[in-house]
Amino acid sequence: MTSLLNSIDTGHEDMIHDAEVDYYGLRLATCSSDHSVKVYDIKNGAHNLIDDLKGHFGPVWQIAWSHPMFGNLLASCSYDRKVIIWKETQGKWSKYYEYANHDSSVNSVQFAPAEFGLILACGSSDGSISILTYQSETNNWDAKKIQNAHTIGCNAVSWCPAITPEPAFDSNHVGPMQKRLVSGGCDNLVKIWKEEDDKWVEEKKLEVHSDWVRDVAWAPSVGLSRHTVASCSQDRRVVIWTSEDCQSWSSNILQTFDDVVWNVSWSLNGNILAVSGGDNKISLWKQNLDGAWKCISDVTKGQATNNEQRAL
Amino acid sequence: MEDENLKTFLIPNDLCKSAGIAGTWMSGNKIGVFPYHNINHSSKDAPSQYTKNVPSSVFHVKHEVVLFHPILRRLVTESMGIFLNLQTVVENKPSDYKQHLQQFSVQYRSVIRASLENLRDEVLRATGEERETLQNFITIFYSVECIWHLCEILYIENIPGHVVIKHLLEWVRFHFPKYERKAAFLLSGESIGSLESRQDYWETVIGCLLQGRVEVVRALLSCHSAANSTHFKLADQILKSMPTYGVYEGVSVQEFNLRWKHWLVDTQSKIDSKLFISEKNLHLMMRLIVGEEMAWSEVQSQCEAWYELLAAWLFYTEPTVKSFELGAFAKRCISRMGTRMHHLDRVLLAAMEGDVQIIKEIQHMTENGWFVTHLMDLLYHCEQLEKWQTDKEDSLKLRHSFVFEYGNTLAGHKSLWQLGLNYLDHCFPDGLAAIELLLPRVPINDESKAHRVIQEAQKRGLSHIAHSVAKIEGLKSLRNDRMGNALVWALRSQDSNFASFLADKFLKKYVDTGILPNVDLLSYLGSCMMASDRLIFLGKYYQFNKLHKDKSYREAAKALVSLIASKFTPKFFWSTLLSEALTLLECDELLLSSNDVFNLLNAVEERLDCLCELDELEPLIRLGIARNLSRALTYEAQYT
Repeated sequence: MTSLLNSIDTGHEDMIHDAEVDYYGLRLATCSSDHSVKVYDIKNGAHNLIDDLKGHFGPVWQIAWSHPMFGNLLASCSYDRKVIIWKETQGKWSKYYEYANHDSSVNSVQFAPAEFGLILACGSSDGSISILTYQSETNNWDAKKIQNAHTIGCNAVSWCPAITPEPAFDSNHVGPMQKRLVSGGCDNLVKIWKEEDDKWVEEKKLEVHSDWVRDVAWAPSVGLSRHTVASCSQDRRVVIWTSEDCQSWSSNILQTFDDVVWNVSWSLNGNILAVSGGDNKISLWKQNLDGAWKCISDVTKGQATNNEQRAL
Repeated sequence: MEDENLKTFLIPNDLCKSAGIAGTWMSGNKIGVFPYHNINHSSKDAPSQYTKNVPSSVFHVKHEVVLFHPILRRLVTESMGIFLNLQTVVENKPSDYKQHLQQFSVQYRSVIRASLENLRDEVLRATGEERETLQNFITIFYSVECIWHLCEILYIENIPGHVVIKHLLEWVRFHFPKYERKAAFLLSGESIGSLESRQDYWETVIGCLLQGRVEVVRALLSCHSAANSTHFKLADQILKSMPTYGVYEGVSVQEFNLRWKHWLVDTQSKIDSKLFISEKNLHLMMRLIVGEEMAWSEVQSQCEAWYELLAAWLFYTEPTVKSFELGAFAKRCISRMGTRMHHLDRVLLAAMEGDVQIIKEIQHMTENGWFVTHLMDLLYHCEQLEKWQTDKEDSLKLRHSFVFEYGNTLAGHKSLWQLGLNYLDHCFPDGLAAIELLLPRVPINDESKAHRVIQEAQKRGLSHIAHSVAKIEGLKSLRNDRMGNALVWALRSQDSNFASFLADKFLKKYVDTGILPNVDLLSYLGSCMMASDRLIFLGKYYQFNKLHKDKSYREAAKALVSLIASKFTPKFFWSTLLSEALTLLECDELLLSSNDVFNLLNAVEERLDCLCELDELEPLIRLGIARNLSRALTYEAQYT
């Protein structure tokens, strides 16, 4: 049975583009076309506005929470070409770092798994991806850029979970963890990137989509070294990519939906995928024992406010 | 979306309707949904058409987990205990392993029974919506108990020759105790004398007969005022002589069948001679026990469920029926009673047919996998599951998937998470990976919870999680200005940078206030101080500080010289350290040997660049060194 836990009136003056809860699910951050980012306390079912962050001068597309090991940080990216990292001190949020080295709208921000340190990836309409790494010695952010990652623009980035590579022969020699990213863009491609000798290189180009790729999400890893990535596109398809080694990937088309698919999101342990798109539905997908992906439930819009919500 | 059983949940919001929606995951069973309409860098930079439709809200949608209701807490905890014991027994594989499994099954059932009783008590006290919820739970767990009991008989219990009728009757009696209760009341003597005048007398007699309670039937008949008449005596005689099949009674099935047929013929002839016709109920009973169709049609309405009729009918017509033959008989009873099949009926039928469908049906029960997990785990260990799957490996996979899901569900709950981990431990290897993902997400609201998370992480060798939790707690303490506590957490997190950072804080505090905070903690640092160079310095400095306070100046001086000579002194601490040195150099008693002083001088020279900030101090310290050197040299020349 499904029920509505609570509804939070954000007070945003225009559309919301992202709503993310922090690591423990105790706080909610939203961002909107009204240029603002808002943070709420949602502990115990309540919702209190903690802060209204103003610093962007354009619609704010996406937000990301850092791992609590690095304190309370929130990253946001906007049409104004900027990425802002906000920091909370004594209950107050303030601008901590601003990155303005993109030539067009920044569409996606994601913090890397905490095991790698405090690192943020940003994907922009200028086609490049920036990787910002916090240097604790100098208290500064070091930026690396993947130029021309996607022609016409990069729409989404997502990090590969930190997996310790299996020691092949010598169990005493465990290699360093490999940093990887997946990105999706207006060139209809999904690309896998890895860091090699301090540089980011393209590891794999995944071609199946026939229109702009709108979102990509690397699944949290359950199981030892199997990688799963979901991508969705304006071609109305969601593709699940799997690989053992990040070299050879097999694709599995989830379904062709009735409309453009905008978002894909994995549950915490990567066993359920939420898909939402222009058909105004959120559907939940799960892999069964035979490896096939099945829709397990829908969440969809209501007709009007005077209608009671119904669980069918 | 091939499956029509998909559940759809509607969000009551106009903006969602007109704009569209998007969702992001929160915790395990929650999703945040908000109105969403994709615009991008190429859209016109202007307020969207939806601005009028404010407010725009975020909706948190939750998948309801029945098991999280506090009233079921005991069920969840106690069944975990049984589950874990079961796993231990299975690992050790004792010789009487099968018997153990049956005991576990009974234990599970008694936990369900206890919950049901508790629910029945509570439902009387509850009101409104809560009452409805509890009533719903009762329905669910009543079904669970009923199905489990049947599965135990069919798949778990080791019944010789698969002759199940006795067990089936027990099952039916347990779930339909009405007649037994009435009979007990009637026989209690409270209404003796005019028993048959009671409206429910014959109903009870026949009810008991249907449940195979022949002894009770005879006792009830003997209370009838006509009990001494010939036809009553004859009926009693027939009931008494009715053969019953029991493996331990030393009679083979063939021999039993012979006796049974003989008794049937005998009874039938008595019925045919119309010996019971004067008492229509007695006549009906006799026709029932010889399996006369017409008679059974007359009484079947007295049965609440088809399986009640099934057990009764088999007892009198197919007493040696085998467990695997039940399916066909069940179907006949169902069509006979014209039962409209509900979910419970379908599951029971599937169980009797030994059909794999039962797994599907049980999964559809709405108690979030408690039932399917525990029963399938048990059936897997009884080697029953593999009969439904193509091979053993598949059945293991199936069992794993249930335990995994259940573990995940519990692990996502704020107070049941530890239970969830225990289940995940028993589905290797995915279980550990899931723990790795879920454990760090357990919201930590106090330190005792942090300790518990760390303990669970360490138990499973997930030290990186333990370290990260400790680090987060350390940061929290620091934010609350509890530096000692922060340092303790920093040490647990094995984060040397963090430990250094805190050590600096301690030292700075000393520079500012002249007081070293948390001296108790520092005195116990011991080998922990090896975590970082700065912490070693802090530890050593504390030792010096203590010696100085205790007026052991000579030792203090030695400690100070070694501190200064070490390369660990932070820049901001030099002036403090040198001021301390100055007091020792200028002490009346000669504390430092010429060697010490040379070392000191060397160190000062090496760090001249830091000292330039200490204009005032430099001449003083040089003077102090020179004076002490002369004293030391003179002294050493005289006495060595």
